[in-house]
Amino acid sequence: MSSEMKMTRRIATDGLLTAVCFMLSYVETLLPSAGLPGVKMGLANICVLFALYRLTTWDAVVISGVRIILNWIIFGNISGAIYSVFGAILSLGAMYMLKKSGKFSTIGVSLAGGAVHNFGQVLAAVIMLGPGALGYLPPLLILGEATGAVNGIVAGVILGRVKGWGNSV
Amino acid sequence: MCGKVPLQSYYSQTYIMKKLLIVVFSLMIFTACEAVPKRYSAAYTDVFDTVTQFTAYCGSDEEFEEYSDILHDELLRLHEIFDIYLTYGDTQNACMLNENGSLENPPPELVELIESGKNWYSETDGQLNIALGSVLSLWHDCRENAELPDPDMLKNLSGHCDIENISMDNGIALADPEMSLDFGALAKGYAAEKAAETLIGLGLENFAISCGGNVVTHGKKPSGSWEIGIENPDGGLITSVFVSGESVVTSGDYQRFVEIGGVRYHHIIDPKTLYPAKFWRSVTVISKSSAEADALSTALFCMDQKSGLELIKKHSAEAMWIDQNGEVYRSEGFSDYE
Amino acid sequence: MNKTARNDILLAVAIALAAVAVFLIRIFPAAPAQSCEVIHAGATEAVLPLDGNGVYVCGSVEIEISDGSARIKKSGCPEQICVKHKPISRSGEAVICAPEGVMIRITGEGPDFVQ
Repeated sequence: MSSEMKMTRRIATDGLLTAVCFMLSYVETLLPSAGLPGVKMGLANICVLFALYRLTTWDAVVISGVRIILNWIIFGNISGAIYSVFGAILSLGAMYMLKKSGKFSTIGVSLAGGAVHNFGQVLAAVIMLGPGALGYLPPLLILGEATGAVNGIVAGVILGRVKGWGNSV
Repeated sequence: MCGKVPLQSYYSQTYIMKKLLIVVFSLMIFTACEAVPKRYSAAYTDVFDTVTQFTAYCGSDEEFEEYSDILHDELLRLHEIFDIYLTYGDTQNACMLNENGSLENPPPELVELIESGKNWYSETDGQLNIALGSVLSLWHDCRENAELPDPDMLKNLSGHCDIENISMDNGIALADPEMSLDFGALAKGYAAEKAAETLIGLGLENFAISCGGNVVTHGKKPSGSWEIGIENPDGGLITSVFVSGESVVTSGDYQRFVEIGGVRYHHIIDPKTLYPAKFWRSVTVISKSSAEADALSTALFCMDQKSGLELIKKHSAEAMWIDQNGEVYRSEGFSDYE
Repeated sequence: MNKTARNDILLAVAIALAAVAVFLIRIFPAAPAQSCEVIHAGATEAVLPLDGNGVYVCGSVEIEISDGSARIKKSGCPEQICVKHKPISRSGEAVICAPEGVMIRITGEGPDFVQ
């Protein structure tokens, strides 16, 4: 395959995954939320994990970033976007490093991603609202890793059953 | 390989990612620490015969200390001008005015306060009278000795409380030699307002000053508006009001009093009866101006609710009254602050 | 149990412990939040915890802490306003003795000022 074809394929793949990611992030807002602010299932992370394991890291970054921008444009929530940016940057970094080390499974990488994502959001809250927001950190870390673990299981199943999409094609 | 990193890895994606992440993370933590201003407090006990508390959110100890010193200096300066018990060198202040009967070159703040006093006199039908000094002075001495003033003496002194006897044509002159001025009802509010203006002009954005119960606020705290608790005269708090930029002043019968023969005599004297005002146990006023809030709270303490309501409406202020039975009354917009 | 699964579990436990640590660090200093600050001549001279009983002397002023509240027990001032004030126990409350230049104030979460 020529490099142009590869690029085209890559753009198409990323676009598709971004769309799925965006839909997942919207769908989960329809689910009932827990008492704490910002507690969601993090379903969109399944897409990011898929990209991380099947494609390249940069694909995961692009999918995450574009999805956040889409959310911002369509739902107009600037502060929500800021929280997401903090969460996404830190969790992608953490997930990348854990995956790279090779010592953890998708579940481990995902649970860390979930926890660190929430940590990033609390950090954003502290910057914008003050240190009182730190009170939310303990439960959000635990919930983050719990939802992350679940997402990791789902992502693992998907990765196992879906062939192709990646460099192997 | 003894600790030597292969040349290739300096340019690898991993390496760059790692470094980038560390930088981003550090920047975030750094901005988090810098962006959260710290809360500082200071107190001064040498102005206006009460305690002044100053709370502000600043970036550093030095910054706060600077503002605190400026505030303290300004309050001290105004305290010396309005002080009726002591003179300070050459400063033509209230004490000098009362002793000499006139001042040639009064400080502009003193002139401003007296003119304000005259306006309040006519607006409150005499219930706020800066010329009541001789009566108030007698009560002050009596409180210190825990004895009641002689009614005849009170009556006598009340004849020397005519505000018309203050003339402002050439400096300040008191036509009646036995008259004296007392700025207790106005000075704190005025001083707090002037001092706050100075701080605002110097760029301080979030602070609150409580000058003996005269609260001036500006900006907010990280968690929201400034919270001022209003005491229940019988103990505990009646409520809290939340303000950001407004002033809150409370006049209460529990603030300064003396018990004589089992009866409480507080410090706010009703100019009509010449005895401590009996209308209310506490009056709280919220207004954009601290000077006005101070005047209004004292005035309202010495009048019935109807007149009080008229007065605050005129000045776009809100008020809360607590009567002798503990009943609480609020003006229409007061609960917006609760 | 294979290696990655074991590491996953270790990771999960580590994060949980971090969460607990943050929780404890925040809770413990916060618990004895009520103390009485003694301010003399503009500077904080002492911070007395409210749990415990005792008397603190500052010049001619005697400050008594008992039953979770603080009060000025004795003072050399003429009007004795400070002594007559009821004991204070809530954040923001304060009692002052202006002639002696002493103030006691309860610190912690709560109103910024009480009047």
